[in-house]
Amino acid sequence: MRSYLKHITPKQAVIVWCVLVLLTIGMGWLGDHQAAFGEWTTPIVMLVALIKARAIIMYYMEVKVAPLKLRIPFELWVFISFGIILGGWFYL
Amino acid sequence: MTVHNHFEAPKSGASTVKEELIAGVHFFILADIFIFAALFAGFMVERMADIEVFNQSANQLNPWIGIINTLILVTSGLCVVFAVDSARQGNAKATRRWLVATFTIGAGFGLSKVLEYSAKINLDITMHTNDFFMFYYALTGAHFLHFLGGMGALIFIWMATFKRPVDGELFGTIESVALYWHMVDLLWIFIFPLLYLLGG
Repeated sequence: MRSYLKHITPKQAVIVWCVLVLLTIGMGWLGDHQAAFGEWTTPIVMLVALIKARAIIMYYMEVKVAPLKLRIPFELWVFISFGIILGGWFYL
Repeated sequence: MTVHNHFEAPKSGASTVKEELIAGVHFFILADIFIFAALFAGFMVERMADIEVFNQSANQLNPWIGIINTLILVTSGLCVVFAVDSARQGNAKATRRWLVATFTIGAGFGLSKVLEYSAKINLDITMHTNDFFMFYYALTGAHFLHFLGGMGALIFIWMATFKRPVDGELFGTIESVALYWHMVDLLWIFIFPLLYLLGG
């Protein structure tokens, strides 16, 4: 029997996909209902983007099971990109 | 029986080549996405200088086109995960089937982008319209070129599966192309809110 311990299984991949789809549709809904969330809309949208980006990196790219030397730069990129966009938005 | 794991220590000459290939692809992806992070920073700095123009311009974009593009890419990404899984099991037929699905669904992104660019150009909105649209075309254009590269790579490995076993040396190439394809998806995850949703 083959080992899938260190790989995403098709079932996990489908679960991640469902989460990504729901979050993406949620983002669209947020965009259409910005008045309901006011100035919180952008931080929420960016938080959703951060979660989605991490889901792709950790599960689709299997960085979750990668050595730290690979995981750290990917994590850094996600948080730096998130920080750049949200930081720039907050600054104004 | 072979157990494939691109993070395991290499055990043979072939697996050393595969490890190096995967490491090289990871390095390329990291270098590439950090360049995009610099572009995100450039966009935010320019946005601070002319926020009204940036917000008005962003409101000219239809967020639902971005939503559909995201759904296309994440679904195509799921198919490439299945292609890698099939290749890991040595199932060439299923690998090819999932690669075709990845390509076909991914093509929807290309079509959507072409339609979006055409609509903008018909309205006389080009790179020269203002700084926002300069970034819009630069970011989405650079991303689109990555997308085209990924589509070409998918065709390449699909053709290769007819000639070589998918769970042999080719497996490293299949995994590398899949990683690259996920990067295309990953970049879009940040480009989309940056361009389409910050203007509200």
